[in-house]
Amino acid sequence: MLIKLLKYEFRAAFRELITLYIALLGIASLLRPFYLYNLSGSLTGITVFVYAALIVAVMVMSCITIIQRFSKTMLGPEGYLMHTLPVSATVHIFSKLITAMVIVVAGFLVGTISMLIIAADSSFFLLLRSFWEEFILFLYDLFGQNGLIVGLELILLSLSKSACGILMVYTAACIGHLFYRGRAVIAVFSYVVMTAVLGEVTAFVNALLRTAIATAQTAFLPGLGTATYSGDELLPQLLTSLLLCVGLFYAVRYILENRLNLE
Amino acid sequence: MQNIILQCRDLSKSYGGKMALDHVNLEVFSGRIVGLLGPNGSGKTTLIKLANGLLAPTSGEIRINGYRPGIETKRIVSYLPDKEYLNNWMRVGDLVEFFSEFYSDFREQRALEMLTHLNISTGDKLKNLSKGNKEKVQLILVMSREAKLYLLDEPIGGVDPAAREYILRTIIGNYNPDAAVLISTHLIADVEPVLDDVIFIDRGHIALTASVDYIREEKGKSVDALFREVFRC
Repeated sequence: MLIKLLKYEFRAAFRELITLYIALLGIASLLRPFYLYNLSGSLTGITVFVYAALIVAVMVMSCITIIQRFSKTMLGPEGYLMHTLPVSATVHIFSKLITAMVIVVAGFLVGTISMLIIAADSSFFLLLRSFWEEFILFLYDLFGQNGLIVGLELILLSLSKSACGILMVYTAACIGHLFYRGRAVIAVFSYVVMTAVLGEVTAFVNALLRTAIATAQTAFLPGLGTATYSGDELLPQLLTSLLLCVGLFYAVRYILENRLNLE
Repeated sequence: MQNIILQCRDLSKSYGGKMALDHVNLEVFSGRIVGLLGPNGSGKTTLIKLANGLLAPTSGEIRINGYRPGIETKRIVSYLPDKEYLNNWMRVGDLVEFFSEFYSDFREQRALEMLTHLNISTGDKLKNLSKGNKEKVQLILVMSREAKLYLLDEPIGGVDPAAREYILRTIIGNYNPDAAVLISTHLIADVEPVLDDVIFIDRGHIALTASVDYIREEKGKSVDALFREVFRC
């Protein structure tokens, strides 16, 4: 059922975003000769402005799509279709979350590709390769044999923090749904409060986990390797983020399964 | 042998202090076409939405085939809401495919035949169809399922008399005969000819539950006449 839902979700979510992606890549292609040959003038200015506007539009539309795909299909009119499918709330939430994560990654990739289209040439790729090699050496110098683990932790941490952010939006929308009036206002207020409260809670849990992992490393597993980067351990942050994701997921699921009131 | 397909026990639902359903007890048997009849705001839509799991009860319970609303009931319940609920950007063919993928009891060939009969192409986008045709598409999709319980909320409201006749013919001609059909409406005269049983609901309470035959033979009235009498303003 998840695959079927994802097929439908991707189609619904990307049908408008695709147009923006194509427009962005198209404008980037137009900008390329201006950049490579250092051309200036009003046409360059206009093209740069359009490119910047499209970058902003992709970011804004991505956020709107992520929010709307959940609020309209789970808590709004399309809920009459979605909630009468023989699909559990868990699968619904996963389908929305996976689609939202893909939207985030796709926006990042399209933006990156657009910049490469504008600026990439042979010297750029040589520079990129040199930067990558230095980055790997930097990781090894800092973390020794754990450098690649740290790299993996960084990627997982970015993904889990994105998932947390998305699930917080879903939770706020669900909290708003519990009320009969002012749902949107309550949802926004809930999001702001959650950001503040959960920020403190995660900092506390992070500190606890950091101590626990350090103790475990010293006493039982010397090779566990608590990576340090800018004074913060990644593994405790990753675990805290994952715990938060799980908590928010269950909050959303509880409301959808037990407190749904589609009007 | 008939079995109870829908059962409500002391079912109540309130919206911020306003009681929409108040300790409702009723049973719907399989193989029956039941009219859920009542004036606007009597609780018909609330009851149907509770059966579909779109609302959470305030108290009491509702069961379909012995189960609380959930995945097991959604597999056997075919629901037609009283509003447009399908995505306007989708093509008719996409919707047929959608229903086919999610409901194992969906009869795709039958749906396509009915659409062809209405001159609706699978390539048509829903947003380009007239209101009446959109409603017919929704009805065709719902009635193309071999469900055990059909919940039709105001299927003939807001359409012309010719369309009403088509809709009722589609319902009678395509439902699973072993299933129960619950039709909520306030247009009594139109649906009376197809009903086996009626449930009168008034301000969240069940006012009457009876078979159409009983009303005609014992009370000597049509359902429409009895409805007007019971719900006289």
